[in-house]
Amino acid sequence: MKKSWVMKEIEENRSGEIVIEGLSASPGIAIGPAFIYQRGNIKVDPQKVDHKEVKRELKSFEEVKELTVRDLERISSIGRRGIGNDSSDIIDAQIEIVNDPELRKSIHTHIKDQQFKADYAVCEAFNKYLGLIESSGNKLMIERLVDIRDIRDRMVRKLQHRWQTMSVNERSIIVSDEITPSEIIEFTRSNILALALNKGGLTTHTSIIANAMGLPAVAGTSIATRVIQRGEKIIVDGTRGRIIVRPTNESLDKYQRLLRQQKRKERDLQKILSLPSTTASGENFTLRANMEFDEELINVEKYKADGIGLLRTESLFISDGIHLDRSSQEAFYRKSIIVAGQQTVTIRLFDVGGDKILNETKPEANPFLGWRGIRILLDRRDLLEDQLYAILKVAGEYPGRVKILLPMVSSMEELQAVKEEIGKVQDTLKNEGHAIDKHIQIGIMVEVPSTAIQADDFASHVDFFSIGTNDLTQYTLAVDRGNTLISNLYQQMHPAIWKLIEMTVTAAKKYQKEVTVCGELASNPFGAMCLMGMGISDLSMVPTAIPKVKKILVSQTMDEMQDLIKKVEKAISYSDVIAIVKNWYKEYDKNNNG
Amino acid sequence: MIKKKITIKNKAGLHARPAALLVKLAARFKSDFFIHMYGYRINGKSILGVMTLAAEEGAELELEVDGPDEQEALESIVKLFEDGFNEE
Repeated sequence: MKKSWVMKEIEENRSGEIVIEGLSASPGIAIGPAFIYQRGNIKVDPQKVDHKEVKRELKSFEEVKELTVRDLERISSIGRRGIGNDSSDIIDAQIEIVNDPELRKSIHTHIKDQQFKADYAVCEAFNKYLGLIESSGNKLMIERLVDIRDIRDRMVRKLQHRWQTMSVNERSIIVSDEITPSEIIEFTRSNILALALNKGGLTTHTSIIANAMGLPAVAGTSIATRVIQRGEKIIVDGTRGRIIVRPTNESLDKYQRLLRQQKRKERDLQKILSLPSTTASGENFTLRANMEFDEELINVEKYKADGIGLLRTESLFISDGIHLDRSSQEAFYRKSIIVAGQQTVTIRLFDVGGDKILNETKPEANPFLGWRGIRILLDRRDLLEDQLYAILKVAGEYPGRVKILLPMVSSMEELQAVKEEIGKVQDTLKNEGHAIDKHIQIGIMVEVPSTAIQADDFASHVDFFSIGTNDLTQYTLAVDRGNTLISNLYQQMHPAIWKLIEMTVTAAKKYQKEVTVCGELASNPFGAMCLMGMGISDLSMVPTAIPKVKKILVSQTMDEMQDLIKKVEKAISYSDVIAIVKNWYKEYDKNNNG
Repeated sequence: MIKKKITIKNKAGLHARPAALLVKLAARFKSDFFIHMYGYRINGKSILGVMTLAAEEGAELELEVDGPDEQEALESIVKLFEDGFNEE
């Protein structure tokens, strides 16, 4: 959101209708009664504490600091996958602010030397910087003040334990100065319809979460709370970034029409989702969800996913190498299983680079070819053991529902070592009197080319393969997927990738093992058809992609999809593949639009 | 201890994003890192400190690195400045 400040204007015409212009923070239309939500500004008093309480204040500051970083990392990560990078950049800067060593020093001084309470200390330390930046007169910096204040307020509220929110009216539109991600999540339980907000800067977070929740939102209006009265009927047009107050009958008609259209689209989507997952020729397929965060889990049900095909667990790391203890991990796994209903949950072991685990780790020249995934877990057995303990304990409570997936496997030794560790932990659990799932399925990610090449050797030692086409592409084509200079070379449909997938499928079939795809290729309708044609009928993807993939798969016969992949496999260059894709869509559009 | 003078090349100056990149990079090294500008000396590992400089395009500043990996640190940091923080 680069254009943080759009000129807002109020147009009041004779009929009394008021149009408030703002930013489109999340698309969609809603009509409903306004609920004015007021949290109030933070209040801090220069309270001093006893000599003996200094330690406690320092500790609560450090705890709140960790919690705040963790919240921000979560939001940043959801945002990176959901919308553009602009907002994530701002959140990354906020994370650095929370971790700022000088800020921390200053807060410590306020607490230790002057014996202030932590909330006051935080406020004072922040305010010094806010003042300095404000007086710099630099416009770009001044625009960011709002994000710095946001951090300050978050930390102060956490310290004052004033995080509990008030309840809001069911099915209302929330009108507020600003709103935090946790408040949005809280409010969605009251089935709120939309958000109308005064502020813009902080809404970067708001916008990410509102989008993830499918909640229309207009932000940066400056005046929404002053113009809108509680209980009155308003229109929020999140797509155009506009709020209509005291609408004329004409406006109401227009928006009711738009709302009906929107609802029809949602119903169409629901219709597709409620169709049985079978191709036009009757073969079954399975579409699962890729998941990472607590906040996303609701999407498993919303998109009627067949369970969770990839549960990433990196979010269980806080920062600086702190990871959640066993019981907090267990809680997250249990929640995922409950969300998956009768379906399975494939839990992938921590898949992070070295820098995330130990902050004393030296920077690596080639982190993607470095200490990451299974390589770290085998060097840091404490992490592996803790995670396996939590997973296997929960698996014992829900036998047959949990699968374990190993990331970054490139050699047989790694697989064997983890299997041994699993055996050991299962024994421990049994000795402690816990139930265990004796037949828990263990699979590996196929993302390092050597593993695809050796798929036939691996197949007899695993229960399933999960092909991660994102990393497989990056490693096979030697293209760093984060490098914008060569982003045109990052081609998931490159002929070499199809060949490696084919090798994996052949090996899996030979040994009658399951094979799934959880990379971006599966969420691309054309890619999904080709994978089906190859015999991979189990795909996992970001839930929002499920409708479009399902729509295509139910419309095709198996023969058609097999013919398609045969054509694709004959291609010897990426441009050949793309020509086939374009041609196919041309035909498809012709047949579907008359 | 080593020092080097440098000029800000990217149009938007040392705003939030470049500042975040800079402190993230600096944090990877053991050496202390300071920036001198207009007679101020700020901790280069502090994003708020960097932001208070409000350094704009063309601003001249002096980098000071002190510690066991100072050479490597200075080189990486200078490169980040010279690449204009990978933005236009």
